[in-house]
Amino acid sequence: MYYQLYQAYLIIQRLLANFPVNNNPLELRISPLLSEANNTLLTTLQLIQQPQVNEHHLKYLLSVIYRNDEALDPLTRAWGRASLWMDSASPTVIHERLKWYKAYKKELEQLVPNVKSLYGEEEARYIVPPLYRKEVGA
Amino acid sequence: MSWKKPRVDVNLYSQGDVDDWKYSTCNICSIGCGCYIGVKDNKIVGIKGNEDHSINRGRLDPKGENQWYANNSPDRLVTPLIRKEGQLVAASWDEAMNLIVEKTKETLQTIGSDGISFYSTGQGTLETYYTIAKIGRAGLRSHLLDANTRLCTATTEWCLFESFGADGVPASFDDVDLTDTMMFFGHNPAETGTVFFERIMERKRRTGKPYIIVVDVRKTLTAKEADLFLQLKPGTNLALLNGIQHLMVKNGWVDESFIKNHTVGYERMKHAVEPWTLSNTVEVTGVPEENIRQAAQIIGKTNSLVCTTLQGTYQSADATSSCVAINNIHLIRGLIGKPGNGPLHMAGQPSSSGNRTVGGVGTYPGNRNPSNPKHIEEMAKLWNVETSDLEVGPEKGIEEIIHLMEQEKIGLFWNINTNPMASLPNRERARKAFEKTFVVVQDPFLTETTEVADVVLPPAIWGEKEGTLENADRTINLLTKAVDPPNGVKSDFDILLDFAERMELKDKDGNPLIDYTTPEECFEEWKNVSKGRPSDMSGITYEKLRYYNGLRWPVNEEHPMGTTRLYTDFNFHTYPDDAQSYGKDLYTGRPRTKSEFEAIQANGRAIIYDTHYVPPVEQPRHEYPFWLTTGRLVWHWHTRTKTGRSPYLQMIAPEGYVEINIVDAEQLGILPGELVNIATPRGSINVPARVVDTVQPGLVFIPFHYGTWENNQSANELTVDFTDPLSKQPTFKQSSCRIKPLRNQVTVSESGSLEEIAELNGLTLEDLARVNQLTPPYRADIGDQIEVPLSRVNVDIPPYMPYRNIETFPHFNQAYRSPDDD
Repeated sequence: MYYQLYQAYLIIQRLLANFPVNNNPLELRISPLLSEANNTLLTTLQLIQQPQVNEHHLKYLLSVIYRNDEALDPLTRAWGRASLWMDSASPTVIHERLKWYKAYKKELEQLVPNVKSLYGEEEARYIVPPLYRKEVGA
Repeated sequence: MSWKKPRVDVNLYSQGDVDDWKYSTCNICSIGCGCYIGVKDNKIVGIKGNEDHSINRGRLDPKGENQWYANNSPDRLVTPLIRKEGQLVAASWDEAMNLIVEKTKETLQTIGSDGISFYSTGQGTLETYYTIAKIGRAGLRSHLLDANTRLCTATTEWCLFESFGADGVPASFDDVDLTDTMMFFGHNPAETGTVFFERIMERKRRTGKPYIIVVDVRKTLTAKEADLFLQLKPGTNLALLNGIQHLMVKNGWVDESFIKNHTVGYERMKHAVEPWTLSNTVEVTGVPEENIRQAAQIIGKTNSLVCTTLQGTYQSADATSSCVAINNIHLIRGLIGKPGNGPLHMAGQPSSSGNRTVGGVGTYPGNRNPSNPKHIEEMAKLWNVETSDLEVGPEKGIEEIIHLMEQEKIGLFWNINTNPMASLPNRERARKAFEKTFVVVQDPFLTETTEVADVVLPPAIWGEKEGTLENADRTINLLTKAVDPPNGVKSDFDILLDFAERMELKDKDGNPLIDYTTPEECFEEWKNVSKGRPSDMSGITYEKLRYYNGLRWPVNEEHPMGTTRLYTDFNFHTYPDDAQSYGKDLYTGRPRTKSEFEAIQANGRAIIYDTHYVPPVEQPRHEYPFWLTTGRLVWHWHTRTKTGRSPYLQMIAPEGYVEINIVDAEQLGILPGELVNIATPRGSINVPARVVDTVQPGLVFIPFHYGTWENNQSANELTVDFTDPLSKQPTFKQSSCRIKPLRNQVTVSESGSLEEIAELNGLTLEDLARVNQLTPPYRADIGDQIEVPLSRVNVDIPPYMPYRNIETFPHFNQAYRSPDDD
């Protein structure tokens, strides 16, 4: 779990390092989400290094991380389209950032088995949104 | 009774008397007018209004009057079609349904349950929607159930969740008959709900009430009747509402006692609107200071207020936040739950709210929260399935589903009675996505969407099936079957039952998941599901609906005759285990956890929010200097699948066009009716120009009804596919574009003077001069290149205004004008 969360944290750090890119209005909405992801991931990393993990608090933090990305994902995709259409950032920069957003999502998907093993299938459903945890052949 | 006098509108074409007039409800817009269907020899030959129905007292919208022509259209599909070697070919129902079943099973195995998506409509019956919900959620375990209601009224749902904890518009049409003040915010009922508007105007002519405020970017037919019209810049709805809230707070036009006893969140809202001074609001919105001041004063002091919203709000930037701001206004004045008061966020389609209510789209049936384990358990018990079969979490909107299609994560997309290849924004993107998926289209006609279908199923339409509809004010109305559908055609409901049977969908005891066989039996099951929930319909029967001409939910033991308005006890659905959703952050759209919702401590009180303005994502700039907005005409419905088959409606408004302000047309040398090219970064179309003063300079308007793949008039070739962060409703109303007249070049020769060139091209000399920006005395030398319009047509769209004497009030009129205007 630590590995995926840390990787996710590094990606968010990278995304925050060159932000805002073009001051598109969507960045006004993306900004608090990136900050929230950053703070929540950091708190979670600190929490899981404690000798006794507060599972209730961890559940809340994980719930926030996933819900945060549920909101972030469509906004960043829209930002990509808007920036290309408005020619307000270089296509290389846009595609690079979209690649990192996608990589971030991937980390969260890879985290799912850990969440399930920690909380069980049923409870994990209320932490992780469906599209991150759906398995083939349901 | 609402209207002073009935007036029975009739549209009938019959040789000899009709055999019968069958009880029904109009199936076009969201008003829900009662009607009778004229039948002769098992064929629909006309329609007349139901004079006993309180909603319309016999009146009908022009589209409603003409809807029956589609039933008899010779191009009705009467057999399923399957795509073979690139062509759609006729197939039997067995072949088509077995193929769908095969693809469904294959998708479940290869992608999983979220590889299946239903995309339905706002024009269907509650019974069809409920069956989609049960099959989709309990049978296939998918949570990708969406509908064209996403494009229409998803924002209604989300603003109601946010402020009041559950869906259901607080006010009703009865409140419109009582109120002192009405504000139409981005709502043009004179064209989108003519019977509703006529009802308001009839009272206004009689009593002088209500005082009407209209907020719109265009001088619509509704705006022409306003006492106060606020014409704002595109995408600034929330800025204006923040400015109005600012003035209300500043002047103490608030009900402190109501705020204290029945709401939470006021201080945050107060803080948020602090910067929205008059001068800031004027600068952002472009509305004159005095008009804003007057609007705030009227709203702040009126004894009663009904605010309506529609696509001008829902399809604009800050959609949900703007509707929440309107809820805020009602809450800080305590103008809710009382006669003549309350927000009345409208619906567009005849039963879009019904789809939400019974769970065909949005949350679980009966306003149940998909993130609340207790609600999931209730549904599992009611449907006799395992709780783990029912998916958790908020729904996905169509833009997100298209994204999944692009990634080839959708194996089966079942499209029911809607035409997304004409109605979705940025439709070229949508088309490419659809082409990556197995698409089933259920539609009575070949449409732009059947062109990307793998299977087409022909369903029955209005007058050929029974069921119930929910209109814009929670009224449930009855549709009855007037005639049999054409041979080979089945109702949506029967198609779904057939699918469930072929899929052998079972409950947890091994019994068929769907055990009802008729819409009425389905409704009886739904009544049980709804019991005790906000949309309780346990007190309704088909017979009662017919007898009383519709009833507003909740209808139960406590309210056997329905409920005129919600929240009369000021007790809102904001207890955590009552709420239909834990809501989302209003600024980012981030879904809240249960504990975050609990932390608000609303517990029965309404929630007032701080609303923060974010400008539209795409804005005019050098390459694309104009705002583009899209919308409807009074004469057509959606993509004209039905209204385009009425000879009368089609003749009045046969093709697409663009409305451009006189000043802009002058500057670009565009003649009225001249063919122009409108281009955005997504695509371009060619349409004639309609030069008007109803759009403001810098803005153009294109009706979205038109555009096959071939004729290049579709507004959605141009529109952006950005969505509201909460409701996921697309922002159709704000894109940027450029305009270029399409011209031929003519060389001036010895034998061809300017006068002759003008005459040859059907132009006056002045027109030709304008096109070429020549100044008098007009002259050209031999060899000069002269431009002439490629084509020119008369774009004359007559208004429909039975409530207005056109001769007496021919011009735009406003009660108040700023001295700065002079």
